[in-house]
Amino acid sequence: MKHLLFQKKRHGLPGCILCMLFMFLISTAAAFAQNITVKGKVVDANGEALIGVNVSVKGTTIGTISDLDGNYTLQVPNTKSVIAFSFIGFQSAEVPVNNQTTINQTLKEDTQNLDEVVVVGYGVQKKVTVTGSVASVSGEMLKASPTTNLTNGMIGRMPGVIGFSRADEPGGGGTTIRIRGTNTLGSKDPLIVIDGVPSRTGGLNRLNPNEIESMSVLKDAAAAIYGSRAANGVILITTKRGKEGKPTVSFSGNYGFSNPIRLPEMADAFEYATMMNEISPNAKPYSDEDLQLFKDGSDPWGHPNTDWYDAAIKPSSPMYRSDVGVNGGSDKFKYYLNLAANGEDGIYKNSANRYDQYSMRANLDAKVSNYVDISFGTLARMEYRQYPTKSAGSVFSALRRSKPTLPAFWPSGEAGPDIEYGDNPVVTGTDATGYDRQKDYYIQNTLKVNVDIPWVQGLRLTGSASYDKYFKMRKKFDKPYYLYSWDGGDDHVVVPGKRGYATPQLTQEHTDQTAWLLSALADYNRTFGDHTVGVTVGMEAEEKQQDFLGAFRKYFLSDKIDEMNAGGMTDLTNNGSSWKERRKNYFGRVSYNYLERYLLEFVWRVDGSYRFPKEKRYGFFPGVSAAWRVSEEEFWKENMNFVEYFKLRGSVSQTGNDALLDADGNYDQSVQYLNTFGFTDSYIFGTTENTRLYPTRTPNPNITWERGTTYNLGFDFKFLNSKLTWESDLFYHKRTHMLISRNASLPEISGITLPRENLGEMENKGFETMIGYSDKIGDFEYDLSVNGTYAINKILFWDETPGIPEYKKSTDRPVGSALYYVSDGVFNDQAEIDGYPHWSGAVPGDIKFKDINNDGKINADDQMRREKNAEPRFVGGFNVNLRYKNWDMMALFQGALGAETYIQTWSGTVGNYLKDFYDKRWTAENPTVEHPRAYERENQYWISNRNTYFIRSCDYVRLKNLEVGYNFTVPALKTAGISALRMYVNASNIFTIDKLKVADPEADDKDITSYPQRRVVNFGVSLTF
Amino acid sequence: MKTILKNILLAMTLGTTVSLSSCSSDFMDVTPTDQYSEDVVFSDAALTQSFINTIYGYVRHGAGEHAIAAASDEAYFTHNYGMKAVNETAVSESDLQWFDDGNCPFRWYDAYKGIRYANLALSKIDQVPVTSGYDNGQMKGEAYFLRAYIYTQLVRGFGGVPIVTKVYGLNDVEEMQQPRNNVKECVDFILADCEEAIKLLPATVSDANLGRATKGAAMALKARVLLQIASPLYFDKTVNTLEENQYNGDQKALYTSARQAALDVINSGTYKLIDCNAGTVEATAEKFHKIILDPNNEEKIFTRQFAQKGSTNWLVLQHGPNGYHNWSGVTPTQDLVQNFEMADGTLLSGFDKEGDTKTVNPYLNREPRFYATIGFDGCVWGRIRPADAYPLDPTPLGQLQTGYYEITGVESEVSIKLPPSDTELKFKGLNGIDTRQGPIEDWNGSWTGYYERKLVDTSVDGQNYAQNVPWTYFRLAEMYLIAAEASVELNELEDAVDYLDALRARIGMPDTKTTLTRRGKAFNQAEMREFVRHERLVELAFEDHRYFDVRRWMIAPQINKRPLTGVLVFGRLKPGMTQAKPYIHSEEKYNYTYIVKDLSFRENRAWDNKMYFAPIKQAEIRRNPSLKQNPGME
Repeated sequence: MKHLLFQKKRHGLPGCILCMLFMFLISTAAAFAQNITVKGKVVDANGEALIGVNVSVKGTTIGTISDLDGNYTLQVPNTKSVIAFSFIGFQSAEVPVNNQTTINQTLKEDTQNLDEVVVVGYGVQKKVTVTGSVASVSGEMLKASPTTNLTNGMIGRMPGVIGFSRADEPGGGGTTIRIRGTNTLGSKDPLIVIDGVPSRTGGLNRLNPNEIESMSVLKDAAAAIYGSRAANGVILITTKRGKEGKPTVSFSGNYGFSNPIRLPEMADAFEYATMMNEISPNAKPYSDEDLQLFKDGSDPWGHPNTDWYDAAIKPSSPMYRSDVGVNGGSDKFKYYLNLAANGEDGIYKNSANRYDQYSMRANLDAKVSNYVDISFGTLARMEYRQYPTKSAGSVFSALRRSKPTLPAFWPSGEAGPDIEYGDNPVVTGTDATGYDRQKDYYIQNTLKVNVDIPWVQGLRLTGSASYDKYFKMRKKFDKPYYLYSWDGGDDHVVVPGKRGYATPQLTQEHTDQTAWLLSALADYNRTFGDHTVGVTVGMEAEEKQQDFLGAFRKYFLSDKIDEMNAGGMTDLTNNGSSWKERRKNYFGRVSYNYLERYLLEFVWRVDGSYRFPKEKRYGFFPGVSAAWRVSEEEFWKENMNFVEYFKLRGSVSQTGNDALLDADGNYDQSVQYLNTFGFTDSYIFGTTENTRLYPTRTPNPNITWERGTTYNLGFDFKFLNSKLTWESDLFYHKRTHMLISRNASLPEISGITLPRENLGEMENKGFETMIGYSDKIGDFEYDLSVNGTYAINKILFWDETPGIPEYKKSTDRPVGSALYYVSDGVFNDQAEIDGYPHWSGAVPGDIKFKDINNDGKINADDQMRREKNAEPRFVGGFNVNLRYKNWDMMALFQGALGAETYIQTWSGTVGNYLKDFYDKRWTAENPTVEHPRAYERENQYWISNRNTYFIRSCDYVRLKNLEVGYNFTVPALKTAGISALRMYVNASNIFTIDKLKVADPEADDKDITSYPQRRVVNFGVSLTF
Repeated sequence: MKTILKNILLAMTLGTTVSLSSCSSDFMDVTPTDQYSEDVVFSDAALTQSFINTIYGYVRHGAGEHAIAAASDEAYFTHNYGMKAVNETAVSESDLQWFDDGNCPFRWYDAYKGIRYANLALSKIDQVPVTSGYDNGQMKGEAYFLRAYIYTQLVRGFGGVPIVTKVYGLNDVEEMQQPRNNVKECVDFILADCEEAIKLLPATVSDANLGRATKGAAMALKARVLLQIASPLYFDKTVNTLEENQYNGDQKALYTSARQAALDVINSGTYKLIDCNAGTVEATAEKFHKIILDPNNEEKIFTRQFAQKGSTNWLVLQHGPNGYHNWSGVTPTQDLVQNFEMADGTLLSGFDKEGDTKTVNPYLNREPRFYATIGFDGCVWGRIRPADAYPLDPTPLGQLQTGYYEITGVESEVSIKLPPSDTELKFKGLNGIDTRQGPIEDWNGSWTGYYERKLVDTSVDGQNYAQNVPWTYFRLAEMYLIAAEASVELNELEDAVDYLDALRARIGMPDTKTTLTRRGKAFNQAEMREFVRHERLVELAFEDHRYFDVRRWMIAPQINKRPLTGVLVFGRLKPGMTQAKPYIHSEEKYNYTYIVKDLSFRENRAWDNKMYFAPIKQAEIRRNPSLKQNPGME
């Protein structure tokens, strides 16, 4: 049999793993007799029945859960057995059976919460025994953020999680998450593991917070069990599963409104016209009379004064979310089912932008025998994104640029002229120009089999398989549309002008992705007296593969039919491409503790990546961590008993990275050790397109894993009967062998297209802390916590052009710090210009650039590198939870320090200016020393050369989230079968304190052209039957 | 039972170990699904051909938005993009400005990438199996030609450059520290490549292969590079102080070879000057314009072809008028307009300095090439106006409105400042649609008051469509001009006259000697030198020559220092005449005034001798310290 099963190597790895799964299933045949029945009831200190208490025979896997009335029934092997009761939030209890057949048990509430568990890589650990740095948050907390993007509710809730939300378009948006900041010049994204499957397509953003049981963030050696892809930290998501008991049906409904929290204030028509006159003193486009007409608004046809944001953006846009779920089951079979729908409307008036999502999750757990259980989870989700044909960037760019001296609509109602390309934003935000519709379908399945090996106490084998499909369909239909112009006559005739493409055109794209993962895991956990030992070993293999197909036609006769076959045959296009990636890993964990006082853990992983040549393919990533619960020591208990819990933790670990980013920062699947030729854009000979192949790069036969080493030192405290908790971590991360290109030092005459090489080193260090306090005064319960993370990174070595001056170097500075001229005020008059090194042609009102190298001239050698950049150094949160009788309230304040942004708009004849700029600008009549004169596009040297004048601080504090709820306890509800009813109001981005003012401090937006952050006010109700 | 299970468990453990170690190799070897390995490429003629096609992409064409014409007295680029700094000499090794723009025809980075690919092709091509339908020899010829072309561009831009013939590997860092070769070594290398190409390339290619290199292209390249290096700049030692940029040799011999190379093309029988004579000046101009616009004709030697998709030419959008929603990027200067002759061969005088005024239409009775090259106030553009401009110009093919016009019965007022003293003139009327005060995208209007027509198919809706106009790298007229210039320099003036007259006769212009007489000039070497240089400017305007010509002739100090000028046009109604909206050009109703205006406030043109050769970027010199910078660019 052995021979038969394993001789067929051709099946490759998937076959091997399937064989193992098969083996597990066979072993389920075993069954053992039981002979004593013990019954009883579990209650709390008040005598109230406790539901769902774990009742088990100690040292075996025999166990059950107390029912709705707190009763349990258990088959016990013999009279020497000990029954263990455990329930989260209560102290565990153990009772020897002896000759009893009824054992009633009262459980005491556990104020220290010592049995609290957290999800870690490939397992669950009691929080007291965790040796690494792990932060977690429950799904309940995440649910309180009324946002369509899960990530938008994460910042400020957990120490170590840094992030920024750059834009918030329905269907797009999301918050960029950086665990402990930036660790590398390459891919900076953490690894997301959803129900045990790493890097599931679709990621975090669109997960339904209602379906999330918990989220854990692994930051140090705890992450190392995920080895290769864990260098930027790991986020583990566990979804909810069924709980034993009668079917519980829950419903929640939410309806809310969103509106942009900050739109830039632009110059009005008079102010704009004034500056236009200032930039063309030789040919002033506006007379005094014109200026007066703009000011008094008496000539809406000839001298309009338009607030474009007002004209194009709704005061509020609706959104909704509703969930219907059922869960329950017996000790043999449990189910969790949730159906959800949510949607939100864009912020444009008559918006063509909308997002809708429909999903279903089913999680089933079956106990096949006392030794075998099977769990199955499936998710089906559709994401439907509707966009106008013009991108949000283009609409907001047109809004920012559109001149206040032009009408959005003529007084007679027709749409006014465009700034260019037909971009009148009151039209391009609607479906008048066509549509761009994208449907993403996700089907994600996981099957897991656990087998407890009956003759080896504490040994459990787990086999799991996941099979995920992802499809994306996109259909973009561009059609001509009309804008109107006035001929200038007194009879106010407006003439339609066709804009956009001359004939309709259609693009259709289809993506089909398949991913599978097989894993096998052996887990051994056993306590021998005071010693507890745990060993986990496993392996995984996975494959992801994608095919893409696209087609395009133009010259549609009419815009009435938007199907491909109605398009013209001339200039039609189709294209396709595909990629595949494979990985294989082996990993394990060995943990040991003595009396849960001295704890030691070792994790390791061996990773193989298709990106590396055979001999460099596998990387070994170990991590070791240890903890000492000092408060368990006698000397502590005797002298320091006011601190009832004190644990010291320390770890050293190595993790890796094989992800590559292309020049645009997108994920790059290329295999850098192969000498390959790829296709590039075609070249025309005659009248036809000829293919072109080019060497994608000079191969690097030595490419291998990027490595990160993390050192972590932490402590946890609990004081005052655990009312006050404090945990803190210091960390240092060093990244070596970074996968970057040697662009800066190799002469261009080589003509080489560089591969990624294992070049460069950088470090990232900082600390994170969380202090919590919870107590109650009568019926008033409160729970406060503050957390903060500070991280600063520095490039230690990388490929930099030799010989550049110190002040221009990026080495020894944080990643992403750019070069700028240093502004030094403004030239007030010609004399000042003559007496100061200046750019040729400088005039009064221009910005002074500092002559950094003191050579008497201003050139590129006077650019200095900044120490800061667009990513914050410090991110903090303040969480408040209050409960009074039936009321509850939750608030999250979030803040960040240390980021800066470059705010400079493309203005002049091409677009409007910020009001802020108008107010501050230099004029001959009113020379100030701080701000420059009105500028025209990039014609001024201080516009076309980036300088520190335009840099602004992005420090902020905002009330990110607030929820107030009321739980109804009217007896009539019970009789109607409703066991719980809660109504609540929640909101996000309620207010912000910052210095930036003209743009959102979280956005990285130099031209203020991205979709703004939104405030959401949401009303909700949840019902449980 | 227990034993069986134990055995199974044992089997699983063993099996896992065995299978994981054995499965590993095949499972992890992923070959990209969208790429070929190098070995495959060079064992297949079709794939090799596809690679050769890639090298063509590094032969920079001039149909770009920030075209080099704006870096000389031909034109002005409206939107800066580093061009202003070049014309104001505000560039250095640490600040390359337009010299680091993708439109710069000799950008260092792109050029050496193309050279690497050509070197790679040449090193591999002999191993490609002979396959029917593919000509390995021709491919090799193409690689030689393309490499020579790219080196020629480098030499024209920078002077002597490192000659790289090796396909460098990642570890050849030391070998990459190549110093600059001198111009003689460069030109010898280019000529040798051309000879190889001439041997291997076919005389002509099929229509389907139009745009591929031919024997003629390689021969024309020879003539161009020889004339370049024969020019005064490379024999000067006072201004051109860097040894690598000086040619130590026989100038006469170079001129002789340049002429011979040009004559080889002319006499090859493959190409013919197209006779444009067609009765009227307009019709002649149209035929001349067609020489440029046609995808192919007897005059074209080497072209870059474009289509609606794949490789596209957006010059209509990039250089066309704002009144058609175009961007007016490269616009002709008053100096260029002035340089076109009158139909009788004389030159227009008194219209080249700020404040010079004409009250008689200076655009009448000009030579055909003027009408084919320049868009000016009142000329027919060639396409109906877009819907929003149509009410303001309902003429069937559109008339350019680059002026300001008095109109009866309108409220709006025109306010213009008249050069040179900026006195303000106001009257009821309209700003032309194609001006910077026009009603459509005024920020894209022309500052000079002119539009480029030569490279533009004016019948195309440029805002939405690319034009199917090729870029012409070489056409036969250049060979005549090379032969003429070399003959003048060799003081064989009668020969020069023959070559020049061939070009003049085909557009119905008076011959050289008559023209000289009409202009009151003597027939001697100095006057003929002026004449041939002038002829070259107007014949080859916008074809990427002037930038190099003013440098190699060393006339740049005079030419590039001239203030940038354009024209201001306004039309007042003649007494008793009325014109309601819309405005239409009318010599009958209007008195037009044309005034030269100074545009120095837009671009303060200057010259510095450092500008003879472009700067090599500082970082490249830091990477390779054996590379010398061009003088003055440090």
